[in-house]
Amino acid sequence: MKKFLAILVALLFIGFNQTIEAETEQVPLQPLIDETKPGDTLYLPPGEYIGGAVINKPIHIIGDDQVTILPGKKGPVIQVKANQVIIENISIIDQRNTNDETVYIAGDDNELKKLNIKTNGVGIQLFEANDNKLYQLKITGNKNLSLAQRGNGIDLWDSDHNTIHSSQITDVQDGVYLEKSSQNDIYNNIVTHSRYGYHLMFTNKTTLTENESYYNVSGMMVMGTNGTVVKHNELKHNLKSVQSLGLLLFDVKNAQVAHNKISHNKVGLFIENAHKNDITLNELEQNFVGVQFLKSTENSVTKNAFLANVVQGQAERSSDNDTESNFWGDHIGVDVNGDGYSQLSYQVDPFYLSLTKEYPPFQIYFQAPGMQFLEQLFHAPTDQWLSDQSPLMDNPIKSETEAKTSSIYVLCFSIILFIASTTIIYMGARKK
Amino acid sequence: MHIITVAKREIKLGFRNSWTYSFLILFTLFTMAILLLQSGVQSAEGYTDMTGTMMNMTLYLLPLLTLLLGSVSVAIEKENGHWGLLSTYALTRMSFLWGKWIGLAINLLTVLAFSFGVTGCIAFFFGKPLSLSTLIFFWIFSSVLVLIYLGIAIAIGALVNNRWQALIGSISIWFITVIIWPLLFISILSILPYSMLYTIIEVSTFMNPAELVRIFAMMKIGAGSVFGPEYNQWVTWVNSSFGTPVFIVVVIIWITVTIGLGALIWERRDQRE
Repeated sequence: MKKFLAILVALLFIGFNQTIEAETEQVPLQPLIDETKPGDTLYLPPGEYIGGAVINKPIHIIGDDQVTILPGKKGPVIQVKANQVIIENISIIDQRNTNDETVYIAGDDNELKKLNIKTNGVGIQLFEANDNKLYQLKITGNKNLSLAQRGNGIDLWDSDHNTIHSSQITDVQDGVYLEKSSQNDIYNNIVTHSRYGYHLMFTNKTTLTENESYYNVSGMMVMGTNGTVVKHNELKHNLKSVQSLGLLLFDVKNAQVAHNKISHNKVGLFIENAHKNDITLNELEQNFVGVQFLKSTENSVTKNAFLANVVQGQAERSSDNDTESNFWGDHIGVDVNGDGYSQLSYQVDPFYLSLTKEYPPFQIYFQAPGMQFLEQLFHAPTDQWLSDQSPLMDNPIKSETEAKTSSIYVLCFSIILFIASTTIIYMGARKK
Repeated sequence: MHIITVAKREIKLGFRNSWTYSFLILFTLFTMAILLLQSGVQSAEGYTDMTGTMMNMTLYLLPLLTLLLGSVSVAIEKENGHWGLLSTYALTRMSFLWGKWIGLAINLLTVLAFSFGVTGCIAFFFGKPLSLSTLIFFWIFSSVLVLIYLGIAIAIGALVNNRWQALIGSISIWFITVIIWPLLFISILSILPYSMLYTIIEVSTFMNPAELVRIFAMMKIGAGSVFGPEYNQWVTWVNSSFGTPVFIVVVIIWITVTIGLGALIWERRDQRE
């Protein structure tokens, strides 16, 4: 807000003293770029610059500390229409309410690093742009806008072989959105308070590793993709919306999903219309529903740990999946021959899921005591069950969570309750 | 003033009675067993399988015990002639039942406070992770259940003639509101047109204290999204600043209406005889 006010004051100032002050207060960027020869470096001293600039030759722009670029009259604040451009250490503040992107890249082999972008729309758009490197970026949207009004943090359209890493994105629509793009590598990013953390549509061989996604509507949405790799990501606290999910695999083929920590989501892992995916060694913990299958076949879901989910799993029309050898926190298994696998199987009845699918208002009976009674009475045909014939006896994932103990407040509160109750009992029972 | 006299007598009788202490031991063991038996997860905040199980177990046990204790307590007064004696004084049925409710409520809430107090101490000394918010959540959840079901129990007691009828009445109410509620609605409502389904479920939820408290509690603990888009407005509403006051009002209405109706019908019936 302070910055905004400062800009406002500055703008007013320019309005009154256009001839004298405009040059020193806010410098147009385009002439500076035009003066720079291809292959040269443009150093920007501290100050405010007017954007709307187009870069169409390979140059290197470095900002000193406190370099801020503001939008020009129209178009993106910075447009890269060349190859091998490097832009680093710059703040871009774009408070316009237009459909223009803040940074627009339509070239190859460019590098964006250490950029701090504030936007009301799309932060960075890559359009048919390949082999670009985007890292150490901080993109902040406008949290006062509704999710539908916001733009994506980083948006890739028909762009291949790009790398996005070590960036932080908040308050946007989708943190990183990829459509029709192949072999992009996205790692070490954090997306929070947005609609979807990472959203893949019709992509090929995308790699998502060590990313984090918190407090979004959904953590990761992987849709219509082939050969996606999702490893070592943390997807947590995506639960506020009725559509909330940790990780969605929709119409996905040949994905590798491993070593992810998916916890505190409405549904941890949702697998719909997905086939031939390999899902292993993931930790699904404290979600309302751990894993949910719908019309999915030939997936391998093995050696995952399902801990303390309110409902561990739900499956419907998904019988041909390999769901053996997982660890189920609530399963009481028996290992007779000592091979580490239980001889007692673990099964999940789809009764609730099929019922609420037909009559959604019955979802109000989620985990109602009477509902459990009902599930015992009416079993769905067992061939529709999600079952694990040889559940693991021990958790395959070594949890690094430190042992927590109750706080001292718990003790104080308990002692108060205890003393109060015993006093009442004593007073009530004594003879007068 | 009569109300307080009846309540005081009830408290004294209650704490000199062995049932109070058997209930106390049972509920303490029960709370401890569930809190100490967790499925290998370190933290237990928010809505997890532990919270879910604990809520369901509480819903199975507490309403039944409250209904039995409350209704039998009133029925016994009728059976052994205490009520006949008391009614020779200027004591209305309404103040008698309210006195009973207050006295029993204090007894039962004390038992709950003791159970949660002991469990909290044990969890602390055994190094079990238990957050303050979870402990307070369950304490309030159980207390509200007890208060509402005690109202119903007193009404049952007012309507029956002896403790066998009280027993049957209590178990029926418990079975309907806790056990077969979803079955009842799923079987009936599947026949009805879809458009009516939602409205009926919405209204019926207010008619069942177990469901009312359970759903409110789940929404408060942040699990409202599991109920699906149909109930989105409820969740927003419950978590707004009106949510809790309105819930308290609904609870008070439940208690006053059940006790009021109990007294009214009892009086009408006696006048007819």
